[in-house]
Amino acid sequence: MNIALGAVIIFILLIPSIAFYISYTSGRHTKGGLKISFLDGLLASAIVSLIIHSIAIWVVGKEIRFDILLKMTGGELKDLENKLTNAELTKSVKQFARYNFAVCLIMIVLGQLARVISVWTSWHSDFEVLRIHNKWWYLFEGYTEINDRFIKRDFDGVVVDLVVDTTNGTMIYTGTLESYVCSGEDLDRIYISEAWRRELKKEMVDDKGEKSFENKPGRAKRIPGDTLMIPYTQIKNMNLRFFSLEEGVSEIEQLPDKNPDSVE
Amino acid sequence: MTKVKISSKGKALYKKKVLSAAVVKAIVDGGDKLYSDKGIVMHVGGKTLTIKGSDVAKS
Repeated sequence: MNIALGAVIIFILLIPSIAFYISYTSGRHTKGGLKISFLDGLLASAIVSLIIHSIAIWVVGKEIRFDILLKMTGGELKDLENKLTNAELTKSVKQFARYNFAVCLIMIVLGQLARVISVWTSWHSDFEVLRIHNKWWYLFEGYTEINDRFIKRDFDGVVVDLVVDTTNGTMIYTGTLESYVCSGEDLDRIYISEAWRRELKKEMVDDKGEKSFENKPGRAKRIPGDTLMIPYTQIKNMNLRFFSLEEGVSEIEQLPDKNPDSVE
Repeated sequence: MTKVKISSKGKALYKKKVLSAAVVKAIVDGGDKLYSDKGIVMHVGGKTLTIKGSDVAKS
């Protein structure tokens, strides 16, 4: 009895459901893998694969040599040469390979199609089971949960305040949220531009020259440079401020690139 | 690295480095003004730029 051959065949039969899932969720800033046990995953993919193969067999409509399949899956290879000619076995293996290749290809295409429909209808943000991206993506793209539904807000830019532990104490870094790097569901680092830095607590020096801290942010200091990278491990918390601009694109383009004359 | 998707208005603003840095500073200093009806109004070279906290209900 050959158990390994049976396991390989069963794994091949489970591939279509896995191919669909990978095709649906693959891409940039995708969510991490399913948080289920190996056994649960195996069971779920077996159920889905059973449905897929049932439909596929119904569509194919030809005789399927289940006798050979069951023998191979069960690992009963004894006397196989007496029951099947080499030509029959070769033909069956080729048909099995072609069938699985076609089913996998169809499932990959269906996965991509499901992804397009999910994005178009916004179901990916409404139903957890259809979620495509990781939770950081939804946060940074301006999705807000209202009455158990994620609604995307309209915004022209986002300013982020980051409370960060540094060797000089706890600082607030503020800037335009430019980009970020995730690894599965975990945020790795954040890139901000037009960065400003303030102390979380304002340092006060009394008449005797003794230092104390007031619970007020210090004065904002501009950080020269184009982009500032902050690792997520150093961030204690963050505040996002999504903003809209009242003026149109052409009006904004006509504005001079200089500091404002006044701010109200 | 994933870039945050912003509107064409936002892109037009971010092309102006000095001005976009001033916008961040105005938001830092402005406190709750961003979420007021008037928003933060910046006067730049005889023109104005009005920044408001984005509204979820708009979408």
